[in-house]
Amino acid sequence: MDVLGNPAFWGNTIVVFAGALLVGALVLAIYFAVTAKARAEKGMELLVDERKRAEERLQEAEEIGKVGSFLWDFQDDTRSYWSLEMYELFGLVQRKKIPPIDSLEPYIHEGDRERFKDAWRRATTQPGDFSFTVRTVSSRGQVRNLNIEGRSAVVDHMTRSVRGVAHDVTKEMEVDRAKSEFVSLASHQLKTPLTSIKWLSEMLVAEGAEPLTKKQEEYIRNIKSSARQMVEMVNDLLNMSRIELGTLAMTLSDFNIDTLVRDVAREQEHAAMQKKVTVNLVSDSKFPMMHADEKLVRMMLQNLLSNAIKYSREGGSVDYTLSLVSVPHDSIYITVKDSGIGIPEGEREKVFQRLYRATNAQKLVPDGTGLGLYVIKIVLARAGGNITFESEEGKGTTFFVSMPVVWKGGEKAV
Amino acid sequence: MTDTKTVLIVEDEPAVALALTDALSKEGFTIQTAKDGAEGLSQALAGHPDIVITDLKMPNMTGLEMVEKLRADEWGKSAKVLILSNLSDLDTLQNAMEKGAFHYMVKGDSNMSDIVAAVKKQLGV
Repeated sequence: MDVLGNPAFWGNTIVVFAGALLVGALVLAIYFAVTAKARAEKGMELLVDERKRAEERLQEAEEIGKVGSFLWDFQDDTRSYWSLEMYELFGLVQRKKIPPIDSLEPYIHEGDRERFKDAWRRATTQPGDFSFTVRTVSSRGQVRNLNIEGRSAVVDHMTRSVRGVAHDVTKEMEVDRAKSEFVSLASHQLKTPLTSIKWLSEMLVAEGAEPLTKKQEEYIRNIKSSARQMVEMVNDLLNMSRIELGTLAMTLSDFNIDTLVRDVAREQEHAAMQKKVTVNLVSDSKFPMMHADEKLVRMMLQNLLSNAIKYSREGGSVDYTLSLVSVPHDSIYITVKDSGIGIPEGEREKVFQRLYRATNAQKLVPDGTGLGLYVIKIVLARAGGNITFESEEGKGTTFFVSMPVVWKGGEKAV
Repeated sequence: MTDTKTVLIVEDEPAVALALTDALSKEGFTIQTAKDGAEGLSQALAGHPDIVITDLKMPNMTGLEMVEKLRADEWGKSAKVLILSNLSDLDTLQNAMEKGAFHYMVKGDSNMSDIVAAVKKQLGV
């Protein structure tokens, strides 16, 4: 029988062929699977390497920049992390589980602990960005200034997570301190020659001095006025450096606020006269002797009144009012209303910033430090008071100052 | 004035010393001057002035060192001293009081008339 005609032959052949095909396919499948696995493993290795390199680069960048990053996830603690630099900044050994925030307290400088707790409480209860600076002390006693900035995710009054960075700003703060110390030193040095200018010109026009010609008198008045302006500027610089250095201290004494308000108005008479500005002083109460820092209150009044005159238009007027409000506690209110250039709407937020001067103010009076209102705001805040303003560009500005007062011997105002 | 009071001014800045000398001599005081703490101390111990007005920052011997040494002397321990300086920070002030200064005025914040009034008050004239 012809083999080719034999169905069994074909049957066997097909089986063999199918078997061979199957084996081939299997071999191919195994080959592809093995190479794909190898490729996947290679890819994975590359990814792991890449990730490792990225981590190393980040770690190096954090180390160089002295910046640590953190995440406290209050819902899923396994997601919480501290970068290596965070441990370094706090002087701690790296652990598997990140340290709870309470456990950091011993590493915060004693003088900053309350502030730290306060800042952290605010950071974890208010959604959004936060930033504060604290001193840390490592177990080896190294003190660092850390600026901690971050973002809180608060949903339905629940803090879900706090993430952010801690930055070692010790060096920057040292530079800032050195700058402030320089300003303080320079201001002191400027005060001595200024004192002689002030005193000698005062003596030239004092009672019993030799008579001067009208022109000489005018010159002296101008010298005195310029010296006073310079003393005010130097005092602003000194106060700023004291604020920055943390050495601004209140020296309390008893004085009459009504007399002080009038004294300051008298000092500014010459400047007002030169600009033909009328100063309307209203003091509606009889005040007992006040117990406060006279120099700082004087500085505040001088700044507000001289600003009002400076930024008034020629022939304008300034209302300068001192009043007393006894509810709920005795407080003095000082209002200085000018009819000047006003503060442009877009710049009002910046008025109390250090060194800031409104654009129209710079144009009208090129000289100025931009420190007066900054110092006033801080000094008043320390005394429990406040300063606000209302302004209309081209029409004028009114500053409102409120300050709680203590009277000499605990007297009550009349 | 039958018995003129003597004021010793210890000040290294000539213009400030001139202003103080002229203003106080016009009030009838006898004025002595010294350019630094060391000179001031020897003049004070030799002449026993009625009041010593001194600056703080001076070469050779500072005003505070001078006051400290003055307080160690039998006469000097109760001598009237008025510190007149532009240093107005609390530390300096406290330090001055601890060293035995009784009165302290900040130059830049005071008018000459305030200084004259303070000296007269101290001397009871």
